[in-house]
Amino acid sequence: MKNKLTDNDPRLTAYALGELPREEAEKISDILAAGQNIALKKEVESIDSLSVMLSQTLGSSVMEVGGAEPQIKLSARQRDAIFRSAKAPTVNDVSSANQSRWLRPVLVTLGAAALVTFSFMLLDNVDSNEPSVAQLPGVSFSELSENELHAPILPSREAWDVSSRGNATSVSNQVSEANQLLISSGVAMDDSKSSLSNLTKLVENDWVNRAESSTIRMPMVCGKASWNWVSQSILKNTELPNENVVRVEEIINAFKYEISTDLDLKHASAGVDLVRCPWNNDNLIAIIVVENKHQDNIQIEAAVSFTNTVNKYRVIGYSKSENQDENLIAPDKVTMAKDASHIVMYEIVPEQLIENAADVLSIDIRTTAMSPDKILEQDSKTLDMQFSERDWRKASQDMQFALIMASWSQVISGSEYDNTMDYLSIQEMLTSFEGDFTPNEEQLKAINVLKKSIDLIR
Amino acid sequence: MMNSPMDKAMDEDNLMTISTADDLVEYALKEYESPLIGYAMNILKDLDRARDVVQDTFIRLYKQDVEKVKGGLKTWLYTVCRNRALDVLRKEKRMVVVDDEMFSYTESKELSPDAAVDQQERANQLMDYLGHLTDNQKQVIILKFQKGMSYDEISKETGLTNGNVGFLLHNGLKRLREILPKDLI
Repeated sequence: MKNKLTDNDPRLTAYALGELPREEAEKISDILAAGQNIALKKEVESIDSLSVMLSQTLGSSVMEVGGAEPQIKLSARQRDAIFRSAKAPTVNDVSSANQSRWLRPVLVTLGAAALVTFSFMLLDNVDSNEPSVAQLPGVSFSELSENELHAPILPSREAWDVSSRGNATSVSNQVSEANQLLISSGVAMDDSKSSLSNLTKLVENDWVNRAESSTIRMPMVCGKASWNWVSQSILKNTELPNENVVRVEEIINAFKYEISTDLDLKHASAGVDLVRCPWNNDNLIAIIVVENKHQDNIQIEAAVSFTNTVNKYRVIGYSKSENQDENLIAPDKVTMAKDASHIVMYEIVPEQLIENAADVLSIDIRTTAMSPDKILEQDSKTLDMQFSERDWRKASQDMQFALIMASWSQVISGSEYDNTMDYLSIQEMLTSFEGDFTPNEEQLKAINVLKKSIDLIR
Repeated sequence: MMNSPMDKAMDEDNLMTISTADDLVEYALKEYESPLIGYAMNILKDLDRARDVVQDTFIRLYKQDVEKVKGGLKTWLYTVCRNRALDVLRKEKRMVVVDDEMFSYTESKELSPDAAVDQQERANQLMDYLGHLTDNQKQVIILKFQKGMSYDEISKETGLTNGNVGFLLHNGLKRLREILPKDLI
């Protein structure tokens, strides 16, 4: 700066009004930030307050006669934060008197729209294997319009009776039938190996920038054929499967999981976990399991909303077909058979300085109990998930098993997203798992397949 | 400040030549800062939060690939701004009924009759105080805050130098702060 800046300098007014060239504005910003220039800072804030009032009042007066809307600007401090973010681009650059109100939310502010709030144990000296759960009565499903949602894409399956988006279907029942399971990966079990050459290449879902799409529908359907195909390829053909028959979501959904009931609806329950990602310790994995505990079929739909503690996320599995014609939008609602369940995982890249107890995501679930000819009862609830520092090995036995299956599935499918994960890493995960738990029969069979696959590599 | 169709076409041409994030953000601030604040205000009904959301939207813009985003800059800005505003609502009201009409870019700005009367009284009161300023001070303040003009635009409109505009605004605002009652600021 040519001269010393005083609180009676027109440059200060120009700075507050955003009229200075960027370089000059940065210099003034540095002066304000460097010393104890309280008078100068107050002057800038005062000019900002006055300019907002003038814009609102004078601007509104011309609106009344058909003029333009008020030309309110950002404050100088906010403008500085924007340009400074280029040097350290994190959401923590946001400077605001209201920052604590929405960037660093307190745990529970439920109000009229009561929610179920779920909080993990935060302290090291507390056994964090069992998350603490506080439930309040849910009142309404988030009324998210379909247009607001980023719907999952699924490969088309001839066996599915999906007439249009939003219609109820009987997917869960259908995919439980063996023949249709085989169709769901596009490969019949008794096909010759030559059919593999006809497989469509699968394309993994890319990261979704949370700022661009913060709410998505949770996929509630998938087949189970992939696990059958993959395990038979390894056990009978003693070869690793073609990576295009490996569908992560189908493999992790081939097993039954015991879940803690973190969200208790009238006809369904959901269990959730949020842990560090096994293949990238900087990231998180949200595991969501939904189960029909009703005595009959239920219609079910779910949505997930990510908070501003999340930079980006991706759904694990649900790869798209390279051939666009084979993809379809997943139905909004599915009919879930009695005792059926569905597991979905999201890998999450958090913002750099995520704090303990910060909200990470919320899950909205809506169920409708049905009889053959009428709708019986509806229920909906929301579950908030908060961050706590939690290694994946702190998850329950079944959740750890699910994570191992997901990790392994990504390795054999040649995923681009599993970082440094390889068969050796899978071996280490299995060793840890078997050291901590006694696997059930289903898990033992699966572990056998995983170990065989590792042997094949060796 | 409303651009003429020719100005708008020139601005769009300028946008397509932009290749750095700095220039893109600067352009976006010039074109969309105030409209975005108004848009966020319509959702949040709170100016402070609206400005926070818009600030964060521009911070997000810095992280984008310039070539990818500049073609659909306006849509990108409004989409991100809306999502950020919804986040705030979700956090503070714990859920929001999403109504597409609510997010229309062309939402009605009409005030309720009572609010309109209050607003008009306030504007009249302010105009009285502006009468205590010199004619030049009053003129640049009106052009700046009622018409939303930049220093350059005021300079072209009035024939005053850019420096004079800044000096008049500085002194005019200083005088206003001295004479305006605190409840009006």
